[in-house]
This record gives sequence, structure tokens and C-alpha cells, in this order.
Amino acid sequence: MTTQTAGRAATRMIVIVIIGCIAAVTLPSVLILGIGMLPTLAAMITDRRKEKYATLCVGCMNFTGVMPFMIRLWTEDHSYDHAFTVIADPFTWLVMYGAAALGWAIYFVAPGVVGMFIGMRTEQRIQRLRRRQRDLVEEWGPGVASGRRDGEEKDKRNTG
Amino acid sequence: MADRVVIKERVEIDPDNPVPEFDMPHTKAFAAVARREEHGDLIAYVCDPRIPFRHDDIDSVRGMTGSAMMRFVEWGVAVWAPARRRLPILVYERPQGGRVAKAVSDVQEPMNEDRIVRGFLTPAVALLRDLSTRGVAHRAIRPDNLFFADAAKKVMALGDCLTCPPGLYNPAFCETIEQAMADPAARGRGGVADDLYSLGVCLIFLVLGRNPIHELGATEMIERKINLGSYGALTAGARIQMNMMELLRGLLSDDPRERWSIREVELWIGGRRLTPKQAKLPSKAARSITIAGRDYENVRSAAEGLARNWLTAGEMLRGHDFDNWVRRSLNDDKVVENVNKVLGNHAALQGAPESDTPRLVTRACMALDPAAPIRHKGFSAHIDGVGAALALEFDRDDVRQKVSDFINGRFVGLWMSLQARTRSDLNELYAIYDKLPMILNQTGPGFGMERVLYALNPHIHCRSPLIEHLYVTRIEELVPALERAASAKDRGGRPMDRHIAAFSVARSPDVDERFVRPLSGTDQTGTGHVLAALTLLARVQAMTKSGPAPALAAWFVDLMKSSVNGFANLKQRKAMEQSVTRAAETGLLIELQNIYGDTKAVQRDQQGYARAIQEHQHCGAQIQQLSIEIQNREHMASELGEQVAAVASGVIGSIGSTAIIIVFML
Repeated sequence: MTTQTAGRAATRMIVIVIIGCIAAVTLPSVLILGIGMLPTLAAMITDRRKEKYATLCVGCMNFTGVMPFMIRLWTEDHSYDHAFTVIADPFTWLVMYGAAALGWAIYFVAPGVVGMFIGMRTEQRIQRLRRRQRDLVEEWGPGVASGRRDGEEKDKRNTG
Repeated sequence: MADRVVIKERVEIDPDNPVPEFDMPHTKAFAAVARREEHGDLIAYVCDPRIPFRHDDIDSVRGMTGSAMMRFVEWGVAVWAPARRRLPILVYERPQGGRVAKAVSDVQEPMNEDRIVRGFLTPAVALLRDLSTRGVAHRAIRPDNLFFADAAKKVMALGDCLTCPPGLYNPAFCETIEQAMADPAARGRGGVADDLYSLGVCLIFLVLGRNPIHELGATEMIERKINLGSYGALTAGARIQMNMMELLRGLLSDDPRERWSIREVELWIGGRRLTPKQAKLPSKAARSITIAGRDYENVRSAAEGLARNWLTAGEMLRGHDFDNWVRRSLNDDKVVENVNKVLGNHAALQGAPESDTPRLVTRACMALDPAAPIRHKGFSAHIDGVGAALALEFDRDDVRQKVSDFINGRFVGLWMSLQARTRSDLNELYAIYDKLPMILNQTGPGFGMERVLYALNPHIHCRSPLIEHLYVTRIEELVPALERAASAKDRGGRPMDRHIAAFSVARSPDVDERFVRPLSGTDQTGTGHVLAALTLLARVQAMTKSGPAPALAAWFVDLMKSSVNGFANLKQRKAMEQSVTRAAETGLLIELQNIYGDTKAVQRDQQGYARAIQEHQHCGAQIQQLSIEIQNREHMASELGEQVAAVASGVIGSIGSTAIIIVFML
């Protein structure tokens, strides 16, 4: 038990060291990524669900919005100056935060769309079942609807 | 004014012209004329439907010539408007001189020997010889059934003998002791010896011009005949000419073996004269036996006393007195042998249960007097007369009970084993009696007393209230008669009852008990009973080829409506209604039976109906489930929607990222 916990801690330590090293080398990118992915961080903080659908939803779109600026940084000049220039551009904020907003929009609209779809499909099934019931009544008489057995049906007819 | 009734295009009968002087006790006579042939005036006897006429003997009597009997012309069953029904009608040539005596109590001028011999005896004996060769006995020879054949009243003829069972209207004094002991309707066919005896009685009437003992009751008459001999009893001391005495003693002999035959009468007519034989009286016992307070001196009167007092005779029969009397006082080995044979020894008699007493009395009577009819619980019948007795009084519960007891007693075989002479004609009847108890003890339609009625009376008409008025005697006529009944406006009930079922089985070899057993079901009102009736009549119609019966078929369709309505499948019901209508229009009951009798279709329908109910319920449950799902849609949608949103974002993000990379790479 103790050996396992120690192993995990070691692994975590190694990962943090690697990420720290990479972040130290790519600090301008980390700067843009850190500022650009703030909506995702906010979504992660507000998303109380275990599955973190909102974080995923916003995160995916947010990352897509951040990615062009990261690539510009990498392809043009991977420096603090350039990183600050990119950050200083309002268009950058519009794209990065707009993409995150689109993620939020998808997250909020999808349940409504899915609900509508489920409702339609269920209504269709109910209609089909009702049609079948009508066919049965048409073929076998109203007795099948009331669930009377043959004898009871006959009795009713005879007394009627 | 009623229309004239035509019989077989040969005879016209005028219902408005009765001829009461020719009436029989229960049969009215009407004037009739021949359409083509040269017949004189005719008279038609319109039979009482309750009384079975002698259908078997008609062909034998037809074509008989001679003046000794009313000449039979024709017969047929025709619509008799005054009675609003069909009735059998028998037509004879009308005797020109009227009736010899209106009643047996009439007193008239005595006839001389020559007139009697020429005008009555000679032609009558010739007639009896003719009848005898045809295997028929007249059995209605009595003074009030004699007619003058000619207007000059020289020749006398015997009247009708076919409109009623043999000997029915003959008073006890006209019958031999054995026949007189039987109930009038149950005297059986009899034979020429019985006719010769009756001829002797008529001769006494003609010789004396009266009947000296007509006021005596049957019981007293029988007693006198037994104790005094028939001659002594019938002449009652009146003076008879010596030569006639010889003839009368010969004809009225109580021992059938000593009674004159036709040949002996012919010899007497031819001039042979012998010394008159003394009547042979029954031998007296050494001492008399007391039965119900009366003493009896001879075996035959003792048997008669036992039979008449059957309710109280049991005790006497079980006592030592009877045994001692039979074995010691009678001095008749044959009787002792018979008693040993049918009753066993005294210990066996005493050991028999009390409920067997009536049977023991019957057996004792048979042992003491084997020639007598079988007498059981007050019913006295020759075995070939039971059918007629039952037919005549079928509506009476007591008669049905008596006949039932008679059959269940199984006396016939025993009675036949006691007879001195073997009668081959009774063997067939014995075979019938052997089966009757089994038939009688089954209670369903097609069995019981109705079946016995038709088994014992092969030509009797069907007594069903539905078609009784149509006088159906043959199975071929049954379906057409029911078709007529079905066409009536006031038809009700069903075209099947106990009589129709019994009549069908008894008359048709093609309808066996498998067809009537389904009628015995507990539910006599349901469609199952109607279907059984339809199956039976369809069989009859098919086997007799009696033609279509659309009204009867329509009747069955009405009765089976609930069966069609019982089909749950509405399409199948409609299809069935259409096929039933088509089948009913053809008038072939077998077509209907094929439709209604398709039990597999019923089963299929029932199974399908059960499946439909199940499926309907299943659908209902599913709808309910889905309705709940719709109500919980928001929850499901949010759960699923978030997943969908995550997936959609992932997909869009991936595509977007890929596109961006590609753009920057270009």
C-alpha cells in the first residue's frame, strides 16, 4: 500500500518536473495559453459535474480559438515581445474568448435540441403503437381494448 | 265446404259426406268415389293418428277377391282439411247391405243354419284360407264388424281390419282366453287360429240372434271361459242345434291344438259330421289356492289371479302354501318343471329381495300359464303387441312406466323358452327386445322411451309436435317435413326434439348413435346443441337425398347467430356471415354444418383473440412507458444533451484545429 502511494507521488513529481521544464523553455506560449484558456479554467471551476461536460465543451472550442495565435507565435517569433503584442491585440481576445463563448453556446443549446429530438421520436413511437391498437380493435372488436376474454365478450353480446 | 281429398289419383273422398253407419270405434267413414276404375261406391276410413294402422298388412290384403271381406281399394296419407293435418286414409268398396249388427248388444232375428253357412261361413273360411296363405290374420272379426255384402242381405262380409292394431276393438268375448287376457292394444298379431275362434263367436251371435253374455266385464268373461270353457261360457246355456254345436265346439276349443283348423271347417261345410267333442276343461287341483282372498282351483285361473293381484301376491308366492300347491296339489309335472326353471326352488324364492317381488309374480304367471301374455305390474301384453300399446297411449306416463318396467324385466327370452311351439317370427322381435333395456336406460335424445316407440313400431309416424300433423312415416320425409315446419310463420324453438332424434336413429341405418349422443350435452340451450341437431339432420338429408331445404337452413342460421357472433375476429365474422348466407341459400344442411362445425377455425379465432388482447395490453404498457419518458424528457435531454454538446464541441474543435493547422502550413 505504502509502496503504491510512493510510486504515484514519484510519477506525479516526474510529470511536474517535465511540464515545468517544458514551460520554462516555452514561456511565451504558456503566457498566451494561460491567458487564452482562462474561460476554460472558469468553466472547470463552475462545472460541478463529475463528467466535466461543460469544461470539455468550452475547453475544446476555447483551445481551437487559442491555437491560431499559438501557431503564429511559433512560426513568427517565439518571444515575450511578440507574445505581448499578440495579447495586446483585441482581435486575439475576441477570437479566443468568442470561441469559448461558442463552446458555452453549444453546451447550453444541445440539451434543448436533444430534448426536442427525443420528444419527436417518442411521439412517433406512441403514434405507431396507438395505430396498432386501433388496428387490433378494428380486427377483433372493442373487447380487446377492455381486455375481456372471449367468454366474457360473448356473454356481453348475448345479454346485449 | 272442404275440397275433395284425392288418394293417388285413384280415389276422391268427400269430407262433407260422412257415412256414420260404417264408422269404426275411433275411425270415421266418409263417402268416396273411384276416379277411373269400375268400383261401386267406396268408403274411406280416415284414421285416428294416435292409433297405429296395420301398414305391414296392407299389401297382403290388397287385391284380395271374394265377397267375404270389404274389398280394399287404396290407401294413402293425405291432407285432411277438417283436421288441418295429414292423416292416413284407407279406402274400401262399400258393402251394399249395411251393418249386420250395430253393437254387440244388439238383438236380432236368429239366422238359420243354411243362411249362415252359405252367406257367412263358407266365404269367410275361404277368406281366412286366402289370408292365411298371405301370412295375415284378420283379427277384427266380431259381430259389429260384419256387413251385408249385397243389397239382398244374403252374403255377409267382414269389415275393415287395417285401421287399428289386431284385436284392438274386439271385446273380450270375441277373443281367445290368451288374447282376452292381454290389454286390448297389446294383443299382438295373432294368427288364423284366433280368427277361427272369433268366427265361432260370430256364429253364436248369428245362430242365437244375440250375445248372451255381452254385459259381462272382461275379467269375469275370462274367468268363465277358463272355468267353463269358451263354448259353455259363450252360449250360456242357450240351445244350439246339434250339427252347429259340433262346429262351434271345434272353433271355440280353448286348446289351440284342438281348435278346428280351416281344413276341418271346410270338411264340416262339405258335409262331414262327427260327434261333438266335449270341451276340455282345465284340470282341477286337489285343493284350491287362495290369492287375495279368493280361491282358485286350476292353474290358469291361479295365474290370472296372481297377475291381477300382483301388488299383494308376493307374500303368498314366497310362502310354503304356493310351493306345496304347485308341487303336490296340481299334479302337473310340466308346471312344476316350469316353476323350477323360472323361479328356482323355494329357498331361492324366499331369498329374493323384496324389490324383486313384481318380477317374481310375473315369472310365476309365466310358469303357471306359458301361453298367456306376459303380465307385469298390471300390464298384460303379447310380445308383438307392446309396440302398439305404447303407440296408442304414449302420452300417458303410467303406460310409459309400465312398458319401461316390462322391457327392463327382460322377460321375453324366458317367455319364449317356455313356449311349446317355436314361433320363428318372434326371433327377430327377441333380438330387438334384447337391445331395448340398454336404449331405454339412456336418457338423452335419440334414446329412452321415444326410441323404444319407433323400434317397436316400424311404420308409426314421427310424434314430434313440430311435424306430427304432417304424418311422417319414412326417414325420407323427415327433412321435407321440417322444411315445411320451418316455412311456417309461427315457427319457434328448434327443429329437433327427442322424437325427431329417436325417429332418425330408429328409421335410418345411416344415422347411428354417434349422431345423437352430442344432443345429450348438459347445455340444451347452447349452440352446441343446435350444431348437433344440424349435424344429424344434415346426415339425414344427405343420405336420403331429400333435396334442398332453404327454410330449414335459414332456421338453423337464425339459431346459430350467436355462434357466428361468437367469432371475435370481425373480418372473419363477416366472411363467415357471407358464406353462411350462401350456404343457406343452397338449402343443403351439410354446407352449413361444414361451416359451423369447423372447430379449428373457432380455436384459431380464440387463440388469435387471446394474442390480440395480449398485444393490445403490451402496446398500452409501452405507450404508458413512453408517456412517462416524455414527461421526464427534460432530465434525459439535459443528461444526454451535455454529452452531445461535449462530443459536438470535441468534433468541431478537432475539425477547426485541423483546418487552422492546414491554413498555417499552406
